Amino acid sequence: MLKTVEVCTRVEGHGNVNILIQDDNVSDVNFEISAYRGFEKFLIGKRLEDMPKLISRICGLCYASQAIASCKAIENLYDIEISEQSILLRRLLLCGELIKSNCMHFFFQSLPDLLTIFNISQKLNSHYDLINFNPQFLQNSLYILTAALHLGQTFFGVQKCSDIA
Amino acid sequence: MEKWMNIGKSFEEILRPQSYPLAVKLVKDESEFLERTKIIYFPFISDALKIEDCDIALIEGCISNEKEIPLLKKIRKNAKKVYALGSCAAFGGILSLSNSIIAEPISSYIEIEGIIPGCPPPIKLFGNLLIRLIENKEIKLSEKNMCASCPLREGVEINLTNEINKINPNLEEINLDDESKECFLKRGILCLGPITRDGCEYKCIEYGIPCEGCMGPVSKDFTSNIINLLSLIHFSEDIQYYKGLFYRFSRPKIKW
Repeated sequence: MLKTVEVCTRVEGHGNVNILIQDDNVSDVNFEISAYRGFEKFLIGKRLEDMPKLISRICGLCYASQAIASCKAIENLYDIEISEQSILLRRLLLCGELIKSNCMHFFFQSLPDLLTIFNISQKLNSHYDLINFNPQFLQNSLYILTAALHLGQTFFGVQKCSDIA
Repeated sequence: MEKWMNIGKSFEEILRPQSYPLAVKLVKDESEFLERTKIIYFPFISDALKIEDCDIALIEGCISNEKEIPLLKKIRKNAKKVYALGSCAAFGGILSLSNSIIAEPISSYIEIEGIIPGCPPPIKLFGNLLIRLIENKEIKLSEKNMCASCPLREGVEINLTNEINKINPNLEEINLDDESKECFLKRGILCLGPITRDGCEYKCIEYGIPCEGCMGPVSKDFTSNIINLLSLIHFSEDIQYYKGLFYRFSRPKIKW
């Protein structure tokens, strides 16, 4: 018997979980992250200078990693050595993304589960429960998020709206 | 950190001067936002999966999978107003460059009340439109093009005789000094400002990168905008046949 959890909540993106049950035992679990997006196909024939712009649209949350990966691939192709300054700038940008992403994942996506697991609170079903649980704590987490976003904005230029939604 | 903690009284005051106040607003106990809104379906941060009747639905992302259509129709049935958030939902987005999958804007399947364009949507525009929605007003987008208030506008002639031979400036040409900035089109670099809707904060242009057109075309007729621009500029041979310049974010909306 195949059991499917249609929408996985609190993940960055969309996902399904397929659980295969045989004789009342779980025999296999698959986590499906959906969708073929076709980037590898439509990037063929595009100019190298367009790559970071197009590739950073793969994901609205990890745009910096995607853009830097594409730059590194191009540099690899032509054996380009980049300056120390560029490396440092990229690291700063990545730090911003790392802080933001981890912060968002921890406070908004996994914290409700952790609170339940460690018996700190009842099951929190919605973000309202999370806000009411400890408003000051959550507000502080948003300051970290904001600082990380400013870091990304300073070194990348374009700010991502989806991060505050 | 201090400056984000000062939370003013009026909604508009809060969202305009600072960049990320919405999130701060959201966790303030006595916040108006929480009083006025209740988020009922948002799988990213909440576990609730039932789509109940609601006033406003913001949908992001293009439709590239048949499985998504029933959900979309269900949201339309339950929501009084549906808005497309971001260029993917509004025009099809970058995925529509692909030939191997069909990426359609949500307006191909359901009727929508309006769009909030941008890739990503400019933060102030999004915030202000959201406030208008919460206050039960219609949203208004600018009807001017980017050039209308472009920081590089000064001294631009309408007759552009230069040949457009580049889609991005060379590294040496990126000049962030205010004095020596000049219009991209005049320098022979393709900028989609003349046919793109105003409303973003010129981040790309301030960082020395020409407009890509992520805010979508000014008027509803996408194709004639492009033809108008093409009649004004001359392309060099090597970018004449380069695909996906004008419809990078809006291919499903172009009439061939």
